Amino acid sequence: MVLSCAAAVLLMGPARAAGQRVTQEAGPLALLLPTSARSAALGNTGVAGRDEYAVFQNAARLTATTGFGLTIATYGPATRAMAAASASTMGPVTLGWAVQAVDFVAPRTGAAYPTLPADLVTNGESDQFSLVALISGAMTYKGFRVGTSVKYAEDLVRRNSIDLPVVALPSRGAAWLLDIGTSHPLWTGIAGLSLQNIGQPYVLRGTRYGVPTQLALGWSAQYAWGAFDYGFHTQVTARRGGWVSPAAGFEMGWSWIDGYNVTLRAGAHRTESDDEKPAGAGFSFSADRLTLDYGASFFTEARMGHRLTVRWR
Amino acid sequence: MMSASCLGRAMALGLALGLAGCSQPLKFSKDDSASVLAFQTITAENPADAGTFKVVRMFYGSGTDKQRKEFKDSVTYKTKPVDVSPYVTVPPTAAGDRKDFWGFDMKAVPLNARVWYPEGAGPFPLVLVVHGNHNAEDFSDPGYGYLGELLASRGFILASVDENFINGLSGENDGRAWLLLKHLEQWKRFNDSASGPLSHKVDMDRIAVMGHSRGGEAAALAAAFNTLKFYPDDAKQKFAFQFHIRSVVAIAPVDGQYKPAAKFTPLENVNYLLLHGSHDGDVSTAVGMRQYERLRFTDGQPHVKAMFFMYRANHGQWNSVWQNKDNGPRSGRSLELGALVPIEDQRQMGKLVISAFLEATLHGKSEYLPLFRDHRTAGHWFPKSMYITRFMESGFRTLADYEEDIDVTTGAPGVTIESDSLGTWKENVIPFRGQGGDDQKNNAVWIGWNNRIAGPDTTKMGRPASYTLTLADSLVKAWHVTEQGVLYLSVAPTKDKPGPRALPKDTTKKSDSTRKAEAAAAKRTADSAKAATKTPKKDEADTIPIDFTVELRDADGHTARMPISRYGPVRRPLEVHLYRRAGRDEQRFTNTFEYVPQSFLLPLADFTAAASAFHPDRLRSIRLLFDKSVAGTIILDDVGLNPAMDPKYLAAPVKP
Repeated sequence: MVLSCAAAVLLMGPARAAGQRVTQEAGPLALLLPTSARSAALGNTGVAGRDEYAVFQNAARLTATTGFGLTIATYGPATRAMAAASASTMGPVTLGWAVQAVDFVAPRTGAAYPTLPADLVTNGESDQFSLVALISGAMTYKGFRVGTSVKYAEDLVRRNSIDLPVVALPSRGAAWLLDIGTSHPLWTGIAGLSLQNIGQPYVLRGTRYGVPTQLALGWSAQYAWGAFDYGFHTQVTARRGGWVSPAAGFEMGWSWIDGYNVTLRAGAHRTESDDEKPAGAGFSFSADRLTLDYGASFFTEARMGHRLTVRWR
Repeated sequence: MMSASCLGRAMALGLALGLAGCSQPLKFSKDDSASVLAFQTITAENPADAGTFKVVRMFYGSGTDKQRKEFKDSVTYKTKPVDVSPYVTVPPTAAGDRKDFWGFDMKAVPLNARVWYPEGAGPFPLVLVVHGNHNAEDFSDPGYGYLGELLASRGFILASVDENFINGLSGENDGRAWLLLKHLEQWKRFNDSASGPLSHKVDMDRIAVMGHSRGGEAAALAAAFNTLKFYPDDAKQKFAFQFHIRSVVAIAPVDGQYKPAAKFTPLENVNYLLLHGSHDGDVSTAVGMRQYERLRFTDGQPHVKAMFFMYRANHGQWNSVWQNKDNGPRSGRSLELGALVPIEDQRQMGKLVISAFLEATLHGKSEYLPLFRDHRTAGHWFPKSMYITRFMESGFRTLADYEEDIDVTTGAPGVTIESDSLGTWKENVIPFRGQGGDDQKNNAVWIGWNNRIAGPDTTKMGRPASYTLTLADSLVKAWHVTEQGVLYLSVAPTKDKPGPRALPKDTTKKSDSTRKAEAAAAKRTADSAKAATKTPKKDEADTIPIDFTVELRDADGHTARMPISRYGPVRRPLEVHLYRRAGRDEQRFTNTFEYVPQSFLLPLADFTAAASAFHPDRLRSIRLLFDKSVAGTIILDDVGLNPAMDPKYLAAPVKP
């Protein structure tokens, strides 16, 4: 059923209103970014992920959390981002929420909108803000974990140029979106399938922009090797319009005593643009209740994005 | 803005703190094994040494096993599968995977075992051993090969039963027990067959069942089921076993995971040996003590039960497959493996006490019985560690076990209790160290004293506190107490210490002799106090072993005294820190020690030797006189007498 829905949505073109044009199907920006340091390091995989941020990619992977966690990111002197997610279980259902917000300066919107991740490291004149917030529910049905998320995503262009106090045209484009997903143990790991960002195009300054509706299929597994833990994460994402992004990540952790752990991660994925390099890398350090995850994204001209996730359980 | 070098230094510092600050140093109680195990008075051969029989090895089983090559290709006897499903439930979500792996479901499980037996005509006693819960794919039954080789060389048949296929389930220990009994049925067929290597070689009148962990509970359950006609939880399942199970050995057993008819398993009239390690990272509370307590001897036949609590022993090292992985393959991350005794030592201890127990109870070699009365009689045989031992034989008669009522002044019928100058006197249930209020289901009395008189003069002592049981004449006469009798006490010192006592008003007139005796006792106490105050370190006071005097008085007023320390070590609780992480033990356990009452057996002959005027047959009172340690608290239980103990138990004395 999930696959049928996915195929139907992918084959269906975006609705178009008269007098409006669809430029690209890749906005708002907050939907395109990695959400946690771990996913940034693992090639933006997450549809079969196992942490609370996996809900951004697959509602079925919603897992109950304890304590508090926050991700902060920087891509340059004028770009700040944050993300948070949490969930709790009530009876057979797990309910959760997640949010990611990005405040940045990009090239003028007229020249390059929708904005792409690589624009975050590009100095520009357009003061922008992007947000995605979602609420999710998941449960187990006949051995399958199924979940759904309702998302609100928006891009806000505050100023188009540093020389002008305000923009003249409506500057907010927002969309309500739906995710549906499932996951199930497969071989020695977990397989996840998620249809993301189902929704109508949104309008910004009179132009309609398609949302990045996409189908993601992934598999992840964790193993032990002597004193080490290691994990594989794979994913293929197919976006409406034909853009396909394979992704993979690998992590290896070492725990020398109960509650303490260090993990190294690396991953790669097909990026949204050539200005963004495929590779990601990061590490993690856990000390009892505290976990620090760091993930780096790489861009051309030696520019980097840094993402730090802090958890206290 | 923080520079890169500063950030690097901060991260390095954080990592160093993380690496170093989270673990704790090894902490142990002071080892007294050099003195406690200094002597050897049993002169028999060491039961842990290989015997004279040549050992033969074989397998029996289904002959079709998908996972176990030895039970497919190498079986000497083929066995028919049995239906264990009335006793073992597999969750529907796991049933398919389990059947795929094993090739069978619970309706047709194999009777597989590996066997070590002596070459010779026999008949030889039969011992079944069964493993407990463990990773089902890491087969546990080969882990008792070291016992198989030893016992077979000494004239026993040992069969290590394969129950790996029910590992990973819950509430299945009745199934484990039932399978053991089905194996015994199989053994009867082997023995009754006209041909075959085991034909008429098995002594089905001398059987022991042994188990480890969940298998330890299953062994006791098997002995209980063996006497029943129906399965307690469903009488549609008929039992017709009635084998001659004489002995049960439980190695680090669980207890109460299965409760027949919602009761803890009752057990009667078998010999019982319990082993448990203080540093058990799996069954971390010595719950087998509950089964030990529940065992009753009611048939007038000679039986014995004993327990060995080995310091720094773990759960898995008694199985050569399990080793030191009490918490699974990553045990080293959480458990302090450096705290454990060497694997060889733990197995040597297992070989020693299990072999001695089976030699005594199945082969009738009574020369090993004193080892269970007082392990110091075999000090040279035991690996260097500390042992708390418990012991009782069927001649024991209760004077006070603190189970009968809520009156602290009464014991068994005919016994009254009084105290003098105690700081603590209460009856309560003995707790386990784990959290959650689990307890030993065994009541005892807490006796605390502090002979120091409150005030600035720390050397000022009052008369020694005491706790006295008075026996009715009729009781002593009915029991026919003799000089061959033995006084039983079970004592677990605690770390608690009542505060100094208030100076009492002296309203009684005393005789000169009483006054002199008390003055002498007070002087001894004061001397002890001075000795104690010489120790400069603040925390050492509570680790000093406790000692006190046991005074027997006869109806004519003649007294005889012996120090309790002569009959065994009176240690403070043994410190147990299982985990590497500092504070983890305190998080997970109420106490960092387990209360294991040490059994003390005091031959009445020793008292008559000390005071010839004292007549045991006219015993009137037993007084614990706290004149040797200034202050302390003990848990006292199972005060009793064997009016005339079998001399075999006393054959090997303990050197003073």
